Amino acid sequence: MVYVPAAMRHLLLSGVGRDRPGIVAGVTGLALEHGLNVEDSRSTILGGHFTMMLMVSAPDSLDLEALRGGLDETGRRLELEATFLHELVEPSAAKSPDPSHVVTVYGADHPGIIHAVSSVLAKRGVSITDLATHLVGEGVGRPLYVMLMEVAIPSELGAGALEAALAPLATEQGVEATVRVLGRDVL
Amino acid sequence: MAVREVLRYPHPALKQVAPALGPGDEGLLPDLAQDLVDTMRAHERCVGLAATQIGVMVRAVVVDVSEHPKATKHHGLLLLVNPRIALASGSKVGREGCLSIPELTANVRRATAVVLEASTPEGEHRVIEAEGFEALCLQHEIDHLDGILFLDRVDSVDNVFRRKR
Repeated sequence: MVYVPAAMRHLLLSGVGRDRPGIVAGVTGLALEHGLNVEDSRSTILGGHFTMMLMVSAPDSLDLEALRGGLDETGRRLELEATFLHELVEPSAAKSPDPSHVVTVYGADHPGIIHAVSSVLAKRGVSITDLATHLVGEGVGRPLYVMLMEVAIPSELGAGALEAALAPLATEQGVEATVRVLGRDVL
Repeated sequence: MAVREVLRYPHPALKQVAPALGPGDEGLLPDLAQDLVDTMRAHERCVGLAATQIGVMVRAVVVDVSEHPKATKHHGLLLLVNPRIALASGSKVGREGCLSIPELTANVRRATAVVLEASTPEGEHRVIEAEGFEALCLQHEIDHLDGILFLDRVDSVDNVFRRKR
């Protein structure tokens, strides 16, 4: 069979709830019933909650209201705290830049680290393509905040210049900030 | 002698470059060496410790991977003063943890074989050829002497993990 990509509709489907077995199976079962195809997705446990974010494609014949009703029902059955469904207006957004570097920032937790760092990046035209943060060590002294970002750096900027731009902020915020070339293992 | 408190990040000592042990520092060594061993052995599955992790700002480390299932070739208990990596070869990603950041582990790329120059606590010059897990541990501990933690060597967003309890 030849796969012919059609002009598909695209939707964002997400949910969050207390972690338990069966959430992925339940939500993807609903997706299958409505002819949805899960394209890119990321699901993980954040602060003890299972969170899922699915980018799905749908046939033109999709009944959006029926899907919405089905998602509400599925969410109730799985005791999810919230579900979200949104049809994307711009089905194929501009190609995102390829990440080239990893920015690692860590230090004693306090409000404002992520905003301070991302503001420096934004000002220099650095695009964040992936971001994960971890807060650990609560209850054993000062909690540690770790932020990892994959970024696309404008070629005229360079990793050294970005690290230099982050240095004053690192001192001011009392955090460590390093910029490294993204690992590209091919096995 | 004594099990010492292991400093945790963000203790500033962990981000400083430790000076070499020089003439006149020998008096420090017998106790420091024993404290490093005692502190390492007091922690389950701990295979190495740097002096800076117990707040002693000199270049000394202990490594002992002999009981670890990942260890292949090894030198037993290694107490090294002023260790210096003279040669490094190969490259492999492995999961690491650290007593100074006990809640996280990370995948870190390290050389698979190293040749070290160091002194023993008794002042003898040693050249050590280490490979595999022992080489990894030595690189991790020597990083500590330069104020480098494993989080500084992560090269992907997906490479840091919460340690399972």
